[in-house]
Amino acid sequence: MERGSVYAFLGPNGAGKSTTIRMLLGLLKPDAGDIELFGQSLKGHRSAILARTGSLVETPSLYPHLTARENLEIVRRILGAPRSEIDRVVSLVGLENRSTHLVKTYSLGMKQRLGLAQALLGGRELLLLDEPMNGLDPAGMTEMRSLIRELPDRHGVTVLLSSHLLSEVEQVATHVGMLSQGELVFQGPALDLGRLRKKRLSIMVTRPDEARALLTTRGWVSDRLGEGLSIETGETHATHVAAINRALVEGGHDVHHLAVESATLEDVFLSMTKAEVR
Amino acid sequence: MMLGRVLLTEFMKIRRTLALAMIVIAPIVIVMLHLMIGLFGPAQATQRTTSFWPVMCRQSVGIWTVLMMPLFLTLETSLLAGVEHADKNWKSILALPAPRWTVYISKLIVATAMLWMAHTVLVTGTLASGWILSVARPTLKIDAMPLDVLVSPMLRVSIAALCATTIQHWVSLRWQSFTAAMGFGMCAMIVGFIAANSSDYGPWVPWSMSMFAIKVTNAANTADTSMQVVFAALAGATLVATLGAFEFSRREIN
Repeated sequence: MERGSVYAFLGPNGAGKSTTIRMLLGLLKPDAGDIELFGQSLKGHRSAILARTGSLVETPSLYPHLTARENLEIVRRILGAPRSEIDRVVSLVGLENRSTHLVKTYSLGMKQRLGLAQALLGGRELLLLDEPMNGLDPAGMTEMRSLIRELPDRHGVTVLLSSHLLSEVEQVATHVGMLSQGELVFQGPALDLGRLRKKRLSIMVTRPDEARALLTTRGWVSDRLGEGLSIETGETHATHVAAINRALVEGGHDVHHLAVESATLEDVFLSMTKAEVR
Repeated sequence: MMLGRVLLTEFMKIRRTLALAMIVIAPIVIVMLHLMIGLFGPAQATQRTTSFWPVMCRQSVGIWTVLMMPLFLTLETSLLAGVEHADKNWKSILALPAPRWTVYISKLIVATAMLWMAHTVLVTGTLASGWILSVARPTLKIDAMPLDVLVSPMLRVSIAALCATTIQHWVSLRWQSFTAAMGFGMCAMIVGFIAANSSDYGPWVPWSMSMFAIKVTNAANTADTSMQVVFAALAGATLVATLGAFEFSRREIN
């Protein structure tokens, strides 16, 4: 992982994401091999590594009968961090007004933010977040995404973020690793993954079969897709779109809908992981 | 020192918990019982030719040791462990840079401290109720307070209970189920009752060690083994705590 990156660790349920994160935290032992973080072996330098690594594994682990500040105080004392750290992380996750309230009165979104605050306490350099958006409502997800997005630039934290939903993390990830059945099937900058997206032109016309025949005579290969047509386009799709539209109109077809649609990263993800499963 | 830091956090975690309240509630029930008997008991109980004080102390120590303490230990260790089991907090607390054994030992120290605090409440409460009775019921003939009947046995019980405490602590942390830990404690308590009748085996059964430490057993021909039992309990507790911390340090957290 590159320092200062947000690395999205993706894979379907059961691919091994949580197991990997638990192994990185020393909660589970690998069957074979060794784990290194910050260039040090986890076996011999567990405490030193964990002092630099914050985590939020699925739902946050909190003591509901304590206030947010008391929960943070527990982590602060173990880390030996200064008291001012609590104010810093409380403000970072936007819980200033509720920090003296008991955690049992918190919503899941607030608990998740408090869990993130715990993970950031003590100026940790690496954050391991396992499915941090599980169970959050859309507003909670947006909040969490914006918090994560700010971490590398504003706080110098490198983030590893696992999810089984690419759409959840594609807006924040700078790098992507895709896991399928315990194997990495893709790893690289998120932009590289974006390049794997195919663009298609979606067309809705009154007589799709006739329109398809017309397009074929002009050299465009199209597929029937529901009540319309679909044409795979390259990088020069803009000129193609105009030409296709003109050909259809001149051929007497009413064009109701003409749009360039990119395959979602979800599609790319699914095609990669399904290929591995096969 | 990391153990000190972790220990402090363990004490913080019991704020506003039932476990903390039980430190006062459990011994006070026994104290109040004797106070009520002394204040409102039948004439034959309150008209005495000898001091009520030694009787009251022996009964307080005996009821606590035989009945209340095994239940208290089971409940307290289960509640302490439940604080971590409830929200699957292990994955968070064990991902912090503290050696795992410090977490295990800190929780054991808290459980022991809670037991000893309850003992302090029992001794203090018994002394206070003795003073109240000496003023309110002169017929009870409570005069000089013979502390050796109260303090000395409670000190022995405080150590003799450690072996059972360490075992119950390990069981409570090992299994997530509150019922499993409570069930184990109840069964162990019954075993302790039965073993207390045997002078051969009783002194070596953790749940009857406390009874032998204050000599309230029915075991025939029991020699004065109270101090031997105390040392055996201490040795057993050290061994169980060491093995428990070792096992806990290697445990996988799913």
